[in-house]
Amino acid sequence: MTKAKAHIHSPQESSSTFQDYFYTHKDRVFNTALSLLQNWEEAEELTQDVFVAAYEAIGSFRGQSSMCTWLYRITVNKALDRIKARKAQKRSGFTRSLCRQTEHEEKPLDLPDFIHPGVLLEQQESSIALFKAIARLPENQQSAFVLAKIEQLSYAEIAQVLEISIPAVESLLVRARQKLRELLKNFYEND
Amino acid sequence: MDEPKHHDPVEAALQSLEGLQRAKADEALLQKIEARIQATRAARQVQQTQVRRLTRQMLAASVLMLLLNSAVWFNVGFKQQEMQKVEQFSRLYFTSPLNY
Repeated sequence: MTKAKAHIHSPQESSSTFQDYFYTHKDRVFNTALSLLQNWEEAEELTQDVFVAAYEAIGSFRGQSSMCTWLYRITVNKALDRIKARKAQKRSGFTRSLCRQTEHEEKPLDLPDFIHPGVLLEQQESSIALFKAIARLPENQQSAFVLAKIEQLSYAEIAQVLEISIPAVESLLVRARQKLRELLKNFYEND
Repeated sequence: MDEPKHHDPVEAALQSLEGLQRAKADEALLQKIEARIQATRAARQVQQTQVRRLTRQMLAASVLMLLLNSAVWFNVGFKQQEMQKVEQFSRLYFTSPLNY
């Protein structure tokens, strides 16, 4: 199901093709959304947004990349938009004036502890810290790390999703790992 | 003899994604997505109808304006011709243009 420039003719055919796509890709989309947003309800909403957007834009899908890559791209972009909106919301109002002095600095979001449902039981404790650190990564490093370590995509696939070169992906992942190490170290030292 | 896997908590956290299973999306999401697609389609149809109606109204208004303009233009033209005739008559019979 790589070429999705679907041979959709009748509404019935279109509907069943869409359902096939949904069942094939729903877990990938949802898992990526959940890992980036770290919130179950928001991840479900985002999954809906992604499939609605994909349905609307299926006509403009040129089939240059696989359907899977295309859906990952929509998911990552929409998730990052939501994260930006969250940060903007946090900065607004009274706190905005306080933050004005350090406007260039990204304030971390106070996310509740997130336990990914797929993490092994004995690793849940450690994963909470890791997900907190992932949420504090710069956006491009965050997306690359999630796609590589949680979705297990290859560098080539990540490069296609993020529309960057393979060396750029490698560089993002190295920097993400360094930053995570630094964040986790601070986290355990302050704990 | 097996050593404990991760003494370093940082390393342990970084390795905690090993063996991670993908989270499963609720299958009921499909119904919600289909409902949203239907709603979007219905909203778009309503919008298209409104745009079509507005276009028709604007077209009718422009035709009406064109007709009114033409009527005024013909009327002015007709009056000018009449005035010319009166002036010709005045020159002919009184050897001077009409003095208002």
